[in-house]
Amino acid sequence: MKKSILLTLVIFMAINYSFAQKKFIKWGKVSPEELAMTTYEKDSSASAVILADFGQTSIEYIGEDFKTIFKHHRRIKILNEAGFEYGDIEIPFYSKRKVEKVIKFEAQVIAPDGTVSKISKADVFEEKVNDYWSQKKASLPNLAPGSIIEYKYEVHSERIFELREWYFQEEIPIAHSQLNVTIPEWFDYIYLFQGNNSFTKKESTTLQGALAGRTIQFTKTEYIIKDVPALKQERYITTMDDYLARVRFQLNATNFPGSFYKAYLSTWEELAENLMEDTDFALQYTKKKNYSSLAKDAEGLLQKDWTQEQKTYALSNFIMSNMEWNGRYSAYARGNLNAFYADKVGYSATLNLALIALLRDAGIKADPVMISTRENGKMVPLYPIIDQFNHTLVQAELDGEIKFIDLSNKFRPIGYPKVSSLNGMGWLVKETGSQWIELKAPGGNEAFMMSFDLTEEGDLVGKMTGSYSGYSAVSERRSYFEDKNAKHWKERFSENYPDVEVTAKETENLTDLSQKFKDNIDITLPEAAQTNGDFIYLSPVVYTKFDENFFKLEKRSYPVDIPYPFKEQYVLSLTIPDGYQVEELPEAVNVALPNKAGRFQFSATAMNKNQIQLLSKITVSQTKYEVEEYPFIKEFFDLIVEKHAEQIVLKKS
Amino acid sequence: MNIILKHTKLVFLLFIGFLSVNSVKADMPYAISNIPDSLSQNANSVIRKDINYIDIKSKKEYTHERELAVSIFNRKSSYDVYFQHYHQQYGKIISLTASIYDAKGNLVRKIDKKEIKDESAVSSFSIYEDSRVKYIEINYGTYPYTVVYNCKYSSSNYIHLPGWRPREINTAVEEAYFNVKIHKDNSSKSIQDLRYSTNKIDQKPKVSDSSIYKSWEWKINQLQADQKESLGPNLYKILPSISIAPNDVQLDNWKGSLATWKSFGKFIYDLNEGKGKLSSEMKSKVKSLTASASNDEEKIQALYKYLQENMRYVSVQLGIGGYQTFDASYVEKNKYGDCKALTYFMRSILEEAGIKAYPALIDLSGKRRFYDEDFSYAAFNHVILNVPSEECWLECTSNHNPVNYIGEGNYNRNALLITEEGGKLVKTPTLDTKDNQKITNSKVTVSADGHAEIVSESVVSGTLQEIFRHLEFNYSKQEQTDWFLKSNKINSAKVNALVIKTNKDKPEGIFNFKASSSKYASKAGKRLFVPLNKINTFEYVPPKLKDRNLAVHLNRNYSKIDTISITLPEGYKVESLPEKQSKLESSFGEYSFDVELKDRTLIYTRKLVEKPAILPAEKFEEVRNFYKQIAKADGMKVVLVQTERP
Repeated sequence: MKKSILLTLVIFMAINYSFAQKKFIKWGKVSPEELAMTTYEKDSSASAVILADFGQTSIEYIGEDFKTIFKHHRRIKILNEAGFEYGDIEIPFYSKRKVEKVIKFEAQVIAPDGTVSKISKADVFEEKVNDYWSQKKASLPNLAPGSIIEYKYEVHSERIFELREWYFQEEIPIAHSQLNVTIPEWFDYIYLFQGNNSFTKKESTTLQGALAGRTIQFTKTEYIIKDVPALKQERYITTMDDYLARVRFQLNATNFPGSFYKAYLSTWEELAENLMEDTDFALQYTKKKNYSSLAKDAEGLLQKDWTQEQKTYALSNFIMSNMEWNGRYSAYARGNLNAFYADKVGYSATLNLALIALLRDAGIKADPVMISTRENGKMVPLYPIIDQFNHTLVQAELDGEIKFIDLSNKFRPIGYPKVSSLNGMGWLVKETGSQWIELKAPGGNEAFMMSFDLTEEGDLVGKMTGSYSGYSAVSERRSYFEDKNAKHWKERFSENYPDVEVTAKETENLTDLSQKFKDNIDITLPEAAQTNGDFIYLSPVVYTKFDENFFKLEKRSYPVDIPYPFKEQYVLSLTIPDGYQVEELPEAVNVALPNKAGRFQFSATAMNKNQIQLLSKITVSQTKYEVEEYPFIKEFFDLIVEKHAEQIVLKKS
Repeated sequence: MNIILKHTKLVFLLFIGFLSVNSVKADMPYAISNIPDSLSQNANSVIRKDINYIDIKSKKEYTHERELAVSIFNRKSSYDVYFQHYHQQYGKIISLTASIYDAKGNLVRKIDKKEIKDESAVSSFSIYEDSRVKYIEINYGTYPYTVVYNCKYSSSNYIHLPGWRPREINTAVEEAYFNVKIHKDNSSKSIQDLRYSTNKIDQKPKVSDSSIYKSWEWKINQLQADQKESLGPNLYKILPSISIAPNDVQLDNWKGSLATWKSFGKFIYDLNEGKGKLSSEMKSKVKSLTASASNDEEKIQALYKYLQENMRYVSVQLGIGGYQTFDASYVEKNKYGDCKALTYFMRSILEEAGIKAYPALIDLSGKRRFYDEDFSYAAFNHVILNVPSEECWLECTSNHNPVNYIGEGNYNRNALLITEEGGKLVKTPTLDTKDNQKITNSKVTVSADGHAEIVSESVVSGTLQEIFRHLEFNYSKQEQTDWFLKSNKINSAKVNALVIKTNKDKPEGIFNFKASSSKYASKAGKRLFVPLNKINTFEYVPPKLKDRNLAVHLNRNYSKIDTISITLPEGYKVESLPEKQSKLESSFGEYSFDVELKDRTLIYTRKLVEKPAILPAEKFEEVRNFYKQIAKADGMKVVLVQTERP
């Protein structure tokens, strides 16, 4: 979507306003307490603390254009050496077409005795990070435990639709974080806040001032959060950005004197209408001329008597074998489908929009769903902000069932979006009735049937049949494509059984993604059991993804977000050596997580004199767990790991 | 990692080419079916052709033109996804293009200019480096396929010339060609001759010599893929390669000779001459710091301590060719510097105190531990300091190493000492197996429900104390606890106390912890399985190999002694006690354990020694068996059975 703000304000003179901002932090004015401080009372483990973080955003009229001015002043107390890294400063800015520039950068270090060292200009560098972004970098001189670092700079930006984002949280604690935003009456911004912390203060006042030669009203808002704890990196999460306390601003409307009120943020309905007429989006699949060469080459590909699912597989394969994903996400086509097809490449949405075009021609209902990927962050349905999306996938109705399709990987079946697309919801764009929908993650299932003979020496000899569906089948199929001798199984077993022998037998449905994938292997696990005198001790679970708990930390600060639900089933039938009898079997358990979020069943049964049957079944159907639920899920996996390590005891009769 | 020489980072993904591609295969030269079967074995990729021309116009300028066609069979290929070329301040990529061909050899598409990315090549925080990388990202994903790259690079200030590695591991070569040419026409500006050194390439180059040019060419045809083997030699030793080096060099206006290590060292010495001037304040600081020192050893102690307490390492990769340092006043002013700035600064303050010290260049990239006496070239990326009179070595980027402890990476390798007489190739010290120790005493009290209380105390030294020194100074208490939880092998561990403390003056430290585990021992009916050793466990056993080709290189060098006393719960008796392992001993290590029952307490003792060794390929199975026996013994459990049912 191309947006441009058309301002016919050339008549205005360039006079800028300025208000006396009451600052809670003054350059170089550090208190004796700040200098003397050796630990941060509220977090004794902190290696550094941001004593004050002060941002000010305003809109000014410079030259003949409005610009946003962002001023930042930060003061950090270094408590020990581990905090020296906060003396390395990086200020990113959007440098393409010089849209942004960083000016008036100053930095200084105040030693505990009060001596000040300033950074010299020669030690501040500017580095081009990539085609779009650059950063100012500096490493502060004379750091010592106890030093106070201070720096400030301004970012002048032509970007007016979004104001610079403000993070109230960092990897170290922040004592006082404050953002002041001063907006002239001609502009109307909405603000989006996220995070668990509530504002210590949020207060707006109205002021008089001059802008572009006129005296007008300004609204100044102070956002303050005090005592923000340090951010902790954790696993099984979408993106840490989803949990950081931060605030973003988006232009809603402008209302310039002498011109009409102009809304920039419309409604979801209006957005959908625009998208349906957008050459970079819906027109690519609604106007045949945009995809005519694909349609021509796909002609004759489908057979009439096929199910809609079969047709969809054929068309998906056609696109994937003729167009390569360039690895980049986009919610838009980013050009013409015919042109992309000729180049055999496309953005993430390009491929999916191409599929919609061909599906519709084949008489299959298909519509785009715009989403933000897990890495890109949570979606906000509250405001019609299109920029939050970075990817588009397909919703299709196949033989009466709604399925999501997300092209890129030839091993992933219909109905299974990319794992990174599993971010809870999406916005379905249709001719009529566009709406937010739940993007439910179908799961991954795997089941192992093992049949083993145990020898008196403690070796296990037997075979395994694996059965995989959904996400679990993706990597298994790929492994066989890469090595048909099942090298991946040898590698998995080698960890615990260094002398393992694996012989691959047959596989089923290696290429038919609509069916469960199955594989068969013969396995020998020498010295799998510990033998001693008359006893044999055997750990009967020879393969599991759960031999270690992923959740090791005692407490968790952020919710657990597992991308999709899963099942792992393990069934073993074990023949014990002649002359031995079962002395002890692990006790059965059957436990569930609260709210039926998951279940673990485990049992071992002696079937007859020389046969033991063992079952382990793990089902996790809930994917999000709040911090309060963490102990349950940690305990749940602890129990699984414990049971999976238990032993069968055999005794010579 | 301290990298002073970004040249060495140049990644050359091969070369050569032989110019006979257009005959039979002319219609579809890149069809996969054209690859001889013999070359597909063990190959994740096959170099179809790789043609390289290095044209050395003068001491200031060379260009490198390369055409590389590589067929990629799977995603394990070293050539999949990326083609990259590093460039920097004095170098630039003049052109870079790529085309993708499918398995049948049809052109899929040409890579657009827009798809070539140009990014800063700085991996972690570095305040400034002039190194950038241009790369092409391929996401084709339908294997096999072929990519053809064309790249032209030119450099206008150099002392290091690109080397040649015709292939990576698991890669075969159909045709490859490497041509280096020097222009001799303008004698003062030209290079008069070149030297080369090869690894795993026996053929002599074809040399053409005239009054204007001299060139060297190598051709390689039909080279089969090597396979990676665990515990093998460094990849750089296995893979064929050629290094080339000029005799006459010039960086900006500094002229010198690379012909010998001595002359190269002299060149570097001259390049840095006059950089070490200290301010008068610093001079009096040195005086006061050393005032009470009674000998040179104490002076070094005092000055190194001053450096460690006041200066920190910051990567600032500037300076001519990566070899010229900043003025000492820069370090004085900023209290930081990169490895060369800190090393030269340390040299200056030692000199002020009357102690002679020499910078020692090192290559930490992993490519070279030892250099050829007769082949000198500019391939270093780190520098440390040597004080010959005291046989002392100093790693000046470390804020915490004791004097004369330079860290695992710097030991036992060649270094080029930069002295006023020129360069001297020396060897850094070697740590002995007994220098790297961990002695652990632990008490484990097991309850009837499988719960255990663990108290463990370790004394660590040498390389085994490095991690703890790092943890002590760079991690908060909480992060230390998280590290412990993630790295230990105890089920469901909870930390009750953790102490990490290292000695300032010696490479020694202690690591103590108190932990509890609700699931230490596993229960099965009336039995309890108690692991013998969850404190320091050995787990890695390399996979079995049918035919071992490569020599076995063992690098680990330490000894660990463990004593664990395990108190057993009331109401249980021992049903099965693992049999002790009497001493397994060989040239590369030693292992034994014993376990004894005294009343209610098991006393477990274990000794593990691993020594560095290079062994012939046929010894692999013996080494593997040694590891296997250790892993198995370390995983043993004591089986307890209830004496009476409750």
